[in-house]
Amino acid sequence: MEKLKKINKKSLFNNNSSFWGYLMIAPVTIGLLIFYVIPFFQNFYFSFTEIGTFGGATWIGLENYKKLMKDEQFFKATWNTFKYVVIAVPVGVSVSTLLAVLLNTDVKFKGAFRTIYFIPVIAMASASGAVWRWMYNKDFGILNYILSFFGLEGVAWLNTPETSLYAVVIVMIWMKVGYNMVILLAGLQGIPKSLYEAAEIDGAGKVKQFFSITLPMLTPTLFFVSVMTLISTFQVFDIIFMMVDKFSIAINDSMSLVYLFYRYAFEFNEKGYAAAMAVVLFFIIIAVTVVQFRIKKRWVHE
Amino acid sequence: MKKNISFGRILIYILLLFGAFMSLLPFAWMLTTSLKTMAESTQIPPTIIPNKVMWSNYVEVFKLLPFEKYFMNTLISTVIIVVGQLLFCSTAGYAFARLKFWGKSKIFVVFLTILMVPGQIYLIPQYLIIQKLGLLNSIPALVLPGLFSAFGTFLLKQFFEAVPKELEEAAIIDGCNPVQIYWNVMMPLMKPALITLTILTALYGWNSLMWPLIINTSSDKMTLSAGIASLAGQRTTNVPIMMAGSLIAMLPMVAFFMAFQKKFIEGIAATGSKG
Amino acid sequence: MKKLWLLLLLLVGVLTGCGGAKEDENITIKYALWDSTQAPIYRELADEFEKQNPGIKVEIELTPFQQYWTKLEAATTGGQMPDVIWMSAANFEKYAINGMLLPLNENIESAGIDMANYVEGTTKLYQMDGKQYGMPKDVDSIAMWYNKELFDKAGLEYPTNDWTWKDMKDAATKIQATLDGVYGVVLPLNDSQSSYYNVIPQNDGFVISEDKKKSGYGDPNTIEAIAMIKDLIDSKASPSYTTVVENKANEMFQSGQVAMLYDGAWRGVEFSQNEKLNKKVGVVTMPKIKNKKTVVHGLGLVIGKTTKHPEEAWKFIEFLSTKEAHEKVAKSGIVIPAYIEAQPLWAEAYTNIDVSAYVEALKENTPYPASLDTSKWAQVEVDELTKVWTGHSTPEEACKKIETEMDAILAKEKK
Repeated sequence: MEKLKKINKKSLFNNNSSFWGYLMIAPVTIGLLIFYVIPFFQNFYFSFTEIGTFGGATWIGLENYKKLMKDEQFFKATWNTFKYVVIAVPVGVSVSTLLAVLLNTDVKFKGAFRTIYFIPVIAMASASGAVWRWMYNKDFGILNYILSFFGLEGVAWLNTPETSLYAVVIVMIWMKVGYNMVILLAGLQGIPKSLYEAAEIDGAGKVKQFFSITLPMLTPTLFFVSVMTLISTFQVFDIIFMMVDKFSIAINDSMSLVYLFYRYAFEFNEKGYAAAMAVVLFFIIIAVTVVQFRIKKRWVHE
Repeated sequence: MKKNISFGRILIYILLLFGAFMSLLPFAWMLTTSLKTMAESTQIPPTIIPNKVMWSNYVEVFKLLPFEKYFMNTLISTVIIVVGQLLFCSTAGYAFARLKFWGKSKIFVVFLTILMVPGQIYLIPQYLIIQKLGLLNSIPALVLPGLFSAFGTFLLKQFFEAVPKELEEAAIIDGCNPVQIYWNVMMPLMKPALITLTILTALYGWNSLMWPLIINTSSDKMTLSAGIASLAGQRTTNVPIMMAGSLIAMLPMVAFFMAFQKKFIEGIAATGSKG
Repeated sequence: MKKLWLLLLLLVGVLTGCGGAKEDENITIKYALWDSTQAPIYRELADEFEKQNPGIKVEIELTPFQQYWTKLEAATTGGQMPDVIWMSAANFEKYAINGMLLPLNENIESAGIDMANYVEGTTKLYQMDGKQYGMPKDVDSIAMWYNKELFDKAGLEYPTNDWTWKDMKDAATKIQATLDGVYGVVLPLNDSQSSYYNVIPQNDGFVISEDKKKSGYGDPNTIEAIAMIKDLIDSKASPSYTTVVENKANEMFQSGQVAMLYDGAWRGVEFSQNEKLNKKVGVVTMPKIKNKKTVVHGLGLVIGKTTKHPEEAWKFIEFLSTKEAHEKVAKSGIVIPAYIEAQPLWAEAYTNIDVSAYVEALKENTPYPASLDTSKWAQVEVDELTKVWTGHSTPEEACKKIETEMDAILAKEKK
């Protein structure tokens, strides 16, 4: 009798859970639908049209995409974006992990360090930009000043085509380090202390413990951080906008896809063309994300 | 043995201090710049310590901008956005994590794809929607799109999945409906997660710039970041005063983070551990 | 008697009742602008206007320049533009050609406004197909600042309004050679309006033809002008382009690193407030090449098509276009008014520097180059000229490229 009751109640729950499910996702779904999903599909549609300055779309089929395929600057910007991702994601996540691990030991003033490292995330972007631009300044920046002690002559790091992208990516990493560090810190604190204690008893040194306990147990968090950082790095724009002037000779070598998108959408008023760029970017991101999920099982501890 | 440890530790501290120094640079920059005269702020090479300390810049900011009004607008809109997201994202997050309904994964995937396009594509469509609703230039306008977040939903879904199923099953047997389970059983366990979302969302709402500038026009509906941005001239800007304003605007966020940082860190613990 | 009083009371009552309804019928016009330094003056003018026109209220909408155009575009797309709007040359055609602005010809005529009172260059910027869409608000001219202290140190005479390009170049070369770490002259090459948009017409070249169909970069005079600027960099009299981009021309000047600076009238306020600087600088008109034209920009006041109060919007513009209103703006010293007679007041507002050269410069002017797709060909300009300034291309090559691409863009423009 008890079992029957249990099954009945459970199946009741399952039957009605559809109703409850839809009810509970209703607010977010409706809101996202109106404010995000519809514009998202609109953008898709726009990529096949030419948009008048103040509205009004004329269907032009694949014209925008054909034009994209011939656009050298688009390829350059996409290539730049890949460079940003390939550097910023591994380096950034590694540095954040290192920091998180360090600030999880019995280092003094942990709380203060954690707050300080989070400050670039809160700080006004333009202030961060100004500081770094000064450090990179060819004639008066501190970087070249230090180099001069070694007899080396520094260049205009942000305004030289060959170095600009790398100068920017360092700032990119620096700005995000605190954010990911905090997430990883939490992931670290979720690792049961008992595992470490057992390893101590077995005689494993700190380094061995790190590689056999810490890292594996941290992989779920690392996965989350990697995916989110990847998605956001592909869309980098603000930092480049702030660090490299649009008149700089290095802008073509450091601009990202979204930077070019912004130019076509808001400066040139070619919203249809820009929409096509956004669509291409979307497919790139989703492809990479799918790959990440596919290989997840190989390295993420479940 | 002791020697090795000391050296290692010293190295660690040196690295940490170096990193901390780098992280504090923007703050330091804002501080020294805010205390300079406009003329000195344009000096090349820049001076590190202002020759003439202009505490008056801070007074000037309050004279130029209706700070209290902007502060209130920012506070109100941020609070509403945070509460809204906490509510909506948690109910949805729970549903995605634990309930079964047709199309669940498809709907969730759609949520995620929203995050994969440049945010600027949403600007004008959202503006037009707000306009059609007749809400241009109002506090609701500031708040509306920000109430709904795919990221928040995703984040909370992760946390809900980390909660042991046994706790729910007991409640199911007792005949609770999902909403009751959500409210009475799950939410109390979600405090750290909710704090996490609170901090991230508060940061987003507080610093939000483009949206408030576009959607609101009268100065009495402006937010702090928008108000400070309006100090920028087309060709000349009094940078010290702008820095002063920005520093003041940043302080509440810093204080907020410092107060919650302990809980924050404990909060995200669950996100990663179950993937 | 009593009956009369009762009647009066009744009348008053009725009127008050109607007056109450009228209270809600206050017409509000929205005035969109982007400069926070000018906003207070316009608020004062708006208050005066409101006093003179009871029933009309003016609400100022301030949006910083960077976001101003996105916002205006959004508002226009949605059909709810502000009533009176600040318009710039680069954006004018986009709005006019799509019918988003109201033509003002009839208004100007019936108000009896004589357009000769305003700077012609600016007035022309807001005309299309014979219709006048904007009332000129202000004027920017370009002139040359010089650092007296540096000239003294180099033992040279100060520049005058009669200088030629050669005079300037000679002085610049000498200063750079004599004084350590100091450049002779700097043109803000990252801002066309303060630099090459002047040198080109000064050499009898042009950027865009009057009918907006042809690029001027194929003209040998234009190419020569670009070469002359490059020559300044090559001879080291001017700093390298990268240095200008990294350190901003006007900041270099303020820091005493360069003796002469080309810059616009907008710089006046900042320099005059710089206690260290204002005693040792002077301003003269730009040195003459074949002429000394200054490129003239200037904002226009336009009416958004979607306005529900076209008469009131015009009334406000008319008010702002009066000599008195322009004089008030001039006295603040922030911008030079478009009303010619009011202009000297702008220079008079400066007590510590003689900036009259800017007003003097207006005598020979050429309108700022703009067309429907300005931003597109301006980008080409920047891309190619940047290569010239940094030595990756020659003036001939770059100008040819600009000409080709610009012509293509102009040909595609909606007419």
